[in-house]
Amino acid sequence: MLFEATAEIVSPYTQNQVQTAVGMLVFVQNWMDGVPAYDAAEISDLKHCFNSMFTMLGPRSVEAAEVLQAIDRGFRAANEATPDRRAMEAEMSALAKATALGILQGPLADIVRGYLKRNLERMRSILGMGAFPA
Amino acid sequence: MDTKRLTDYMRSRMPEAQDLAVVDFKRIPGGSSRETYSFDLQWTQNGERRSRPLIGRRDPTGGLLKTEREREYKIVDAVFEAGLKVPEPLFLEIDASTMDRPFFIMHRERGRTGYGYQMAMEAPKLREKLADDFLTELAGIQALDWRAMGLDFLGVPESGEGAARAVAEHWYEIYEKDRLEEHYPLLDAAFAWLRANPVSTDRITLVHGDFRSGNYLFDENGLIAMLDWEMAHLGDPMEDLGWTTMPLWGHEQLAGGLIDREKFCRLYEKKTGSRVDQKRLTWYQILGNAKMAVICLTGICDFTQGRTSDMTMPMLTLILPMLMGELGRHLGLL
Repeated sequence: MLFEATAEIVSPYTQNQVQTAVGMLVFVQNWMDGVPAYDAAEISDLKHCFNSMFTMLGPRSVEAAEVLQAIDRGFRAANEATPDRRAMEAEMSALAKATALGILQGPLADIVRGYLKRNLERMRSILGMGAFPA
Repeated sequence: MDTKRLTDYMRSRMPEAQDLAVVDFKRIPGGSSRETYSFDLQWTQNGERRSRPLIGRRDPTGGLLKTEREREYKIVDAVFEAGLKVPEPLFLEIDASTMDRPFFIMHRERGRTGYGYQMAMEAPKLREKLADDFLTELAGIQALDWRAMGLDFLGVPESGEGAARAVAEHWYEIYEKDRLEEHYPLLDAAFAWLRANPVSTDRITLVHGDFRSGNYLFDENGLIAMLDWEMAHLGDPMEDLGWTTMPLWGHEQLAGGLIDREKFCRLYEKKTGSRVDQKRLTWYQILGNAKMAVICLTGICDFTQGRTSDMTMPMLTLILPMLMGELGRHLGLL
C-alpha cells in the first residue's frame, strides 16, 4: 500500500499535475484580479447594446418576431434595478444566432457583431490568446 | 489501478506465464479521456524470460469524453487487424469489479508526441516525412471496408446530409448538458448555423474523430502509431481533414505544425484520390472548433462538479478564446 502511494506521488502523471497546478494558481491570481473589471464591462456593454437596439426599433419594424422578442427581453433585463446579466447574455445569444443565419441584418446586426468582437477581446484579455495547456 | 490487482489480472489472462511480474508501473499524463498507466510485464514461458512494454487505459471518474471502452477496443482491434499503425490491443476487461472501472491493455509503442507548436520545431525533412506518413494513415482509414470489418455497429449515418446532421446533433446535445446554464453567443450561433446548413456527402468512411498533432507517436524515422480512438465513428471523410487542419492543432500556416495547409490538402488529395471539397471542409472546421469548445466545457463541468480532480480540466478554459475567435471568423460575426 505504501509502495502504491509512493509510486503515485512520484509518477509522471502527478508531476504533470503539480506543474499544471502551479500554472493554474498563477492563472487564477491574474484571473481574479481581472474579473471585477471584466464583469462590469460586460454588463455595461450588454446594457448599452440592448438600449441602442430598442431605440432603433419603430412601430413599423420589419424584423422577425423572434428578433423583436429577444431585443425586448434583453432591454427589460438591462433596465432592471440590477441588470440581469445572464438574461441579457441569453438574448444576445439568440441575436447572434439570428445574425449567423441571416435573419438579422443591417444596423442591428452590426451592433451584435460589435458586441461579439468586444466580448471576445475581453475574453482574450482575461484568459489569454489560447495557448494549449496540456 | 494498482500492481497487485493488475498482476492478478494478468495471471488470469496468461495462465501459461510463470513468475509473472508487473514492473515500473506508473500513471502517465496524456490521453485525458482515460486514466493512462505505463508498465512492463515480465514472465517466463517455455523456460525463457520475456518482457513486454504495456499501457493500461482505465475509464475515468469524469473528464473530457463519455465514450464506451468496448467500442474503442473493437475499433482499435479492427484497425490493427487491417494493418494500420496502431498499438496492438491485447485485453479488454469490462467487469468493473476487477479494477473498480473497466479498462483495457495494449502494447506500449516507443516514440514521442507533440502539439502543433512543438512539431513546428522539428527539422523540415522530418516534418515532411511525418506529413506524408500522417496522411498515408488517414487515407488508409478512409479506404477501409468498414462493413466487411464489422464496424457498422458504430451506427451508419443516412446518406446525403445524415452524417453532418448526426455529428452536429451529437455535440449540440453535449453542449446543452454541460454548459452549466451559461450562454456562449458565438458557440450558440455556430450550432444554429451548423444545424441549418448541413453539408452532404455521398461517401461514408471510418472517421478517427481526433486525428491531429499530439495524437500520434513518432521518432526520427517517421510516424509509429495513431492513438486515442475513443471518438471514432462512421461519417464524412472531410471530418478528419477539417479537424486536423484547425489552427488549434497547427502552428501559424503549418497544418499540424508540419507543412503549409494548402500543400497539406494537395497531399491529402494525392494520397486519397479524392478532391478536397472546400465547402464541406469549412463546415467541418466550424464543427471542429465548436466540438473542441464543448469538450472544454465538459472538462470544466466535471471539474467544478467534483467528477474529476484532473488539474488540466479547468485550464482548458484558456483555449476558448481561440476557438470562439475561429467560430466568429468563419461565420462572419466579428
